Amino acid sequence: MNLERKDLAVIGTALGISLISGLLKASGVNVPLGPVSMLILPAGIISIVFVYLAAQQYGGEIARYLYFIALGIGWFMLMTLPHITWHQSGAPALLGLDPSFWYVFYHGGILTSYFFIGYGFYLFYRSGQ
Amino acid sequence: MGLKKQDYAVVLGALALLLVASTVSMVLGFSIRVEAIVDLATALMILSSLYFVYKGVNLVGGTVGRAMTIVGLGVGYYGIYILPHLYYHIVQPENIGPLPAVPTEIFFHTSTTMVFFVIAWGFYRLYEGGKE
Repeated sequence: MNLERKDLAVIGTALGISLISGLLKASGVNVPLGPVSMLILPAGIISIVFVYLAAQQYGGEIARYLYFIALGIGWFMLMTLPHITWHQSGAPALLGLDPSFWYVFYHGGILTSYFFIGYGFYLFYRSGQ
Repeated sequence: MGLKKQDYAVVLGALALLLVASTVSMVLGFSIRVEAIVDLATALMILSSLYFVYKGVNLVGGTVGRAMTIVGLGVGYYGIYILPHLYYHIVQPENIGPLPAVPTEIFFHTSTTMVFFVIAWGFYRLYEGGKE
């Protein structure tokens, strides 16, 4: 793993904030999960901006696998909120469609998003050969 | 766009397949046990995509390799814990192993958000690294 110190700092901070929020909850402090979860949106927007800029800059195969990985991550993020809400509201029928449809749709949605991500990383791997 | 024609076919094909599978499940009235097969397939798909994350970041070096290692770590973390996380929401247990469930869940939930910042950082490093 050829990571630099500042990369490890970012990863360590992310892990640290997560640990602290869990410990706060364990010691009785109410952690506002809703606002915390909403931070996914700015993180997603930052990702999309830099994927776009990097793809413009490099072009070629790099742009190609970046778009696949970004598509997978974006699709995943789009699906997550309705998916969780659906489970929490007791997995009802929606839009006249059976729960069985939505179960396979949402869970298969995770499958397809990781298929896109995996395909992107496969192209990434191929580009290094 | 840097995508090839076959790439669009792959993307649209996957999304169409998803809709077909969901519709088939509804029409045939699949039970929860059959639906669990979807989860198994999802777990297998995640693992096989992580295989290429692993192979790729080990093969590709330099600036691009480093940036993609960061993205891969984020994607890998999320991929490994997303299914147990979902089952937590479905089952709502009081304990996860020896750990009380609610703080553990808060940890998972916060890290779900934080991991996207790690991924964003990886893409930022990729962009920065390519500047002439």
